[in-house]
Amino acid sequence: MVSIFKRAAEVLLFFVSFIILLEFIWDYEALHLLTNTLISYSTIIAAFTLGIGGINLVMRHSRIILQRRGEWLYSIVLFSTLVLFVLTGLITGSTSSEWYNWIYTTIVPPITSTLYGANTFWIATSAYRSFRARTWEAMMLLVAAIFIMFMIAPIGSAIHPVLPQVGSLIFDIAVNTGMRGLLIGIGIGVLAFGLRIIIAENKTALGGTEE
Amino acid sequence: MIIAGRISWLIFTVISSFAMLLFLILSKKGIYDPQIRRHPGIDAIDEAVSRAVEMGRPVSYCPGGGSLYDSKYAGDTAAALSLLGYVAKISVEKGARLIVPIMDPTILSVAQEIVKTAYRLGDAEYIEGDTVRYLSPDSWAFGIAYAGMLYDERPATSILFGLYSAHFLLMTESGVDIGAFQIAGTTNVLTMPFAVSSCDFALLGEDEYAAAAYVDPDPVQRGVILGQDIAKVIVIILLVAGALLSTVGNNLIRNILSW
Repeated sequence: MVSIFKRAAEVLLFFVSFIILLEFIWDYEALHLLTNTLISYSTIIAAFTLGIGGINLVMRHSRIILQRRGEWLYSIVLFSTLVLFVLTGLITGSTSSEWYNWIYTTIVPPITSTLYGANTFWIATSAYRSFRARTWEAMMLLVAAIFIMFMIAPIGSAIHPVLPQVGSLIFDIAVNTGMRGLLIGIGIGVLAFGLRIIIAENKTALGGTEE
Repeated sequence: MIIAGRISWLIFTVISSFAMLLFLILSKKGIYDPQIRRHPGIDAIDEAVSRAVEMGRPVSYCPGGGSLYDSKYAGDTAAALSLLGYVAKISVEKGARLIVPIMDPTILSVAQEIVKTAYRLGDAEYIEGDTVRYLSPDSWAFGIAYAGMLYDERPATSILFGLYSAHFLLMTESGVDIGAFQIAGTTNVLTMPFAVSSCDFALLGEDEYAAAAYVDPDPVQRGVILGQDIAKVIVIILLVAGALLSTVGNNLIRNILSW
């Protein structure tokens, strides 16, 4: 029975993919309507999955608290925050209410901004490891990075006006060419991978098995 | 009526798909078994899992923050989930404990199904809510929860495929700090420098999509990769011809591509 459902899902996937692709090239009203309906279904299904995520979160952290495992106090904080947000939303009747927004804006954005700021230090440590000129590739990376820094930082033109120009030459030609090459390769890669999924030659990606 | 400007897209897609399907059929029938160069980053996955077993520490595999509904990065997520099946399988075979942190709830059920199947086939114990863990849909909250998991569980191997943004560096630098062996795969050009600078191996661009085909012993998957390379050759020919013709003032290729 399970295999019949899986086969039906594969056939459905093929037809839905075909409709979406057809809609991309063919200007036909009924096709646009059908595609929009299919996309709406995906939004509804996505909303349901948030509930599954919530259940998974509650199951894991309730187990941690009951067993007093590791950093179980953080799990209590997580539970308290979860309850606080759900109750505030239910009591005020909206996720855009003043109370709800106040709790959100005083907790989440400051933490997020702090982490974003801290990223600077991680970039520095990460760049230090990459820029150690141990190989020719690392050496080229280091030289290119120095010229790009001279292009962006005012000190570059203060040392010599040619330095920022070399930086923009690297950025405009080498970086753009490389990036476009990568993007073309990615596009073809997506096409090949999508084809493997549509014709059911890769079942794992959608939760199936290669048994 | 076909929308203007998309005829060339249709022709290229049909020719490329035909090339891929042709080699897929040839491989399936055993007429031609294409041999492709192994990617050191993919070979490193096996070694990384074995390393985790020797050290008695877990393996962490994260399929990124994208969803299967994302029109731009759904391919990334699907490729990451595809490779999850392989990592789960070899983790069970080698006896490594696997941790799969999830950021997007839409892929939670799919990841659970993939890991459960691998565990069932390998007669291993799957712990609900512990093996596949939903952390947070917010990128920074996920990043910090992932870093917390790294310090708490100290996995010997951290594999990151799929879509990431700036929080990627927080995750990988924490991995470096605990001495984890890190392998990353991404098609996001903004994440690529982070992957190169902070991971031991990085699979950039299309290599991420091809990763699942590399590890699959089925020659059919390699057939599609060969078809993909033929599509690339067509693009290179068009690029070179277009550049040469444009240089001499002829816009033939440009006009064809704008059909």
